[in-house]
Amino acid sequence: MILLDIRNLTLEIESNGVLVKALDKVSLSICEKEIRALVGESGSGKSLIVRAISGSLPPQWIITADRLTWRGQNLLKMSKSERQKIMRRDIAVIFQDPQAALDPSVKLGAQFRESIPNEFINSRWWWQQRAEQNRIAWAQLTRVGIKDVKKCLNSYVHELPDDVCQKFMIAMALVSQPTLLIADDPTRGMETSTKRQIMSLCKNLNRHSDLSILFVSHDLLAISSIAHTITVLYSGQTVEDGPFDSVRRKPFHPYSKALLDSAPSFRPELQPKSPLTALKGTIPTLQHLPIGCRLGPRCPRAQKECVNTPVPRTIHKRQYRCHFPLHIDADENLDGKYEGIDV
Amino acid sequence: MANKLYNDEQYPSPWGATWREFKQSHIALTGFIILNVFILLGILGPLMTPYEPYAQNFQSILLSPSWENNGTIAHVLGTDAVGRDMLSRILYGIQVTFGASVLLVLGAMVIGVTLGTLAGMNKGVRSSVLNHILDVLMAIPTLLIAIIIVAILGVGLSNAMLAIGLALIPRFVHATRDVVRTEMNKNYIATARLDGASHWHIFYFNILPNLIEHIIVQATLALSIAILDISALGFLNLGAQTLLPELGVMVREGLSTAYIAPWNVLFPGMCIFLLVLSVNIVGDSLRSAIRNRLTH
Amino acid sequence: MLGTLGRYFNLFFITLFILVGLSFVLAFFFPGDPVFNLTGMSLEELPTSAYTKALADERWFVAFWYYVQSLLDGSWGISTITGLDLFAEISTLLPATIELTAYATIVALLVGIPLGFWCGLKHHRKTDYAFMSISMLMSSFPIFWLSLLLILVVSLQLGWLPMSGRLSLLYDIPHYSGFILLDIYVSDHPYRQEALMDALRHMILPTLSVAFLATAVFLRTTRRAVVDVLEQDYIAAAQTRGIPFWKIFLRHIMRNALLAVLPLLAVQVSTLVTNVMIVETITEWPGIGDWLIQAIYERDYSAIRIGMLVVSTVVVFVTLLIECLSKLFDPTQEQFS
Repeated sequence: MILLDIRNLTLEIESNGVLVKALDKVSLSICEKEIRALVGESGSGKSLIVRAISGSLPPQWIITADRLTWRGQNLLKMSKSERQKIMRRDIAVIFQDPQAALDPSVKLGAQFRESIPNEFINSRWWWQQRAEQNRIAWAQLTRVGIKDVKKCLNSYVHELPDDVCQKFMIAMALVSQPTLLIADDPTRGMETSTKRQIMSLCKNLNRHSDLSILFVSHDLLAISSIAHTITVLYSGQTVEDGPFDSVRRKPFHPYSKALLDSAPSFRPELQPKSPLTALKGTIPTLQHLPIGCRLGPRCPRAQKECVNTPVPRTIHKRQYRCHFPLHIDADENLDGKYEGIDV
Repeated sequence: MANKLYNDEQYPSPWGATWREFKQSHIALTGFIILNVFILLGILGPLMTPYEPYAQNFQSILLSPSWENNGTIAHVLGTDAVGRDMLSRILYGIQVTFGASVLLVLGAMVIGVTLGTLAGMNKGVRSSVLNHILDVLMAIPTLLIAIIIVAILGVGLSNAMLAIGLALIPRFVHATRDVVRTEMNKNYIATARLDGASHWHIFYFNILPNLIEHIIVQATLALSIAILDISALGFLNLGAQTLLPELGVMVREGLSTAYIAPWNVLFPGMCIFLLVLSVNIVGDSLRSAIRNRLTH
Repeated sequence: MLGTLGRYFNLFFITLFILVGLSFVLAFFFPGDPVFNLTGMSLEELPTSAYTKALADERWFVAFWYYVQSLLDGSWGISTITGLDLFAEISTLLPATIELTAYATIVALLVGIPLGFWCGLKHHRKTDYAFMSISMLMSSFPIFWLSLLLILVVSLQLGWLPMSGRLSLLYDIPHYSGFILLDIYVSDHPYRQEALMDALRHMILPTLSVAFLATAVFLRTTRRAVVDVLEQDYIAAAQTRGIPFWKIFLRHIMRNALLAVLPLLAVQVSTLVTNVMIVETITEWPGIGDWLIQAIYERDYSAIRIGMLVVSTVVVFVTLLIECLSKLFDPTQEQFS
């Protein structure tokens, strides 16, 4: 069953008096028990998608979508309190900088108690409630692998190392027993060993608690160990979408290929000391977005047609937006006869 | 070539960017224009005055402003108790009050930035002693410092300037020290140092460009305080003396006839108010322009 | 926490020592005889004591030691002009100043901080711009001019409120604490109620003049702090956890914004006291500011010496107290100590 369904999400931001489409017709969906990776360079709008889902965008930004639904309920149309309820119970978000995402002046214990839904507390008197809340906190924190729980609950954010804070964030996110966890680049800037801990924690949660995860990152290597499906984002446009292994083996979109090529560990055939390939230029700024396919000016396969925005095309659970895809003969694809790809 | 694809936009200099943010706001521009008018009046005012500011005219005592029934166009803003022309005195007063404030702020700025840089670039006991003494100095009210200076040196505009200057120095030291401290901890300073740059070189080429903006903002703040304090001391008879057409002094002199000729209190005070307001607007807009530039 | 307290105690006593030293040294810088400036009397008039002897022999370091002792004793010397005992003088003057400052601060805090929160929450909307512009206008008023205008309009023109002083001469309230409202309350004056009303009416103008400027500053400071907190990641994070906004406001925004405002209030203390002193001279409020300025007109150096010491001690104490409190309340500040 599809939990979160986003179809043609467009976000317009006013910049120097002009409306700019920071997100242009982004589509994304997450099914139950799925780990979906959302990949893109920094500045491609990953965090904006997360904020659009969680509803914490500034009110002056214009957000439109054909569909932005949670279990079939339209998130854009519902009232503030209904949306808060969904965010409180069903969707949980963890952020890339745990130190900044926790209040520096409140002890972590108090912040944890605050995010326990009231329904979980059955006691009548506040001291009993408090004890119950503490029990839940202990259980959760132990579950995510924090060793000194007591110290953690009695500390302020700045007194703890980054990885403990991130685990704490995860525990806090999970306390409401959500169905979907949105992880916004949770391993950025972490050491490899801590990174691995966080990744395996996510993986275990998915396996044992049937948690769906939207994993936002630019770290392909980390994603490759957990993701089932992948969505590639470039400059506010979704360029490709599909099962991870299939995309990895045969990317359709030139950008996906460039992205995969930039990670040497995905290319066993790569000879030592051979140059790494990369696309020329940099991701365009919001003020200078190209028309049509936004990769156009940098794309090695670009042709005249690329000034028109390509429509999404689907084959075999995979979706891409490109006029001249790789690994597919365009004509065959249009005829719908293409079956040569292994999915 | 391809690298220039998106970067062909001319990136403005920090000052250009700040100015671009600054002029977005109409209020900021209005304040800026008014402040420039005041600067012009301060410089050229004495050339434009219809009368000598000291010229007493017993034929026309306590004349109302020209728009009142018994006012004359010869004295646009009326006259005071000894028949001196209000407009001429105010134009001179702008020169005295504003000029003195600018001078004392510049003086305090030079000393404060020097001390602050020393405190920021040095570490250990020397800078910590300096800091504590400065913190104490900063807590003592300006008026108190002025009273002490006046008690030692006697009254006068220059003594008042000295007192206010002394009270303003710690602000500059604080601001400079904080900026220098944070900049000194950044990696580019370490790079410069590894390249063998001297202290002076680091200060001049690396820190000063980052510092100058903060100092200007601080200077606008200090300027508004200086104008208020100079005129307050003049008003309390602790600063400029009766003969000098200082705006605060003029308010005090107008006080004796305030009931029959309220304009003698109203106009000089209004002038101080507008002066401070324009400085405040420019300072505040500058601060938000810099903030916007940094966040965008 | 004890460490922070200890450090601030230390800092206060070192500062106090510097100020006492300064007041001693100033007696030599002021015109006239240092002994006269220190005690208000000439050597011949002084009672014979070890202090007098040290002064007479010009053994200044010993004299300084006795000077500190005499300060602690409460024998602060006499005024060179009036011949009154300075300790008694100041103990009636200082409460009046503190009273005025306190009321003005309370009014300014009660108006400025809630308005600042409101503007911060509504930032970049019309109400915010309106209040920002108004507070900009308010903070540009020269205090003496504002006070004069208020007196001219409210007292002279409209006759609503008394022009100057602290209490009408009709009421003779015995001195008890120096705080007029308290003194009236504990006195057994037959017209206590009327006296209280009269004192309040006298208080309104000076309090409003000082509070007017302070409100503008507090409003701007608070609004900036609130806007800064709202931009923080943890507010957005709390929102994504589905916590209702009023809870976020109470638990996170208010707390962090107030913590940011508190140290900035410490900087305002000296400005506030300067303003109070100026308003005192205009409204003839019998406080230490008015008294000090009279002293400078009359060249009463003994009084200036002690007045400067007392006022700066009080100001430094309050400033350090606020800084210390903000250090104690703000857990993030500890790491920088």
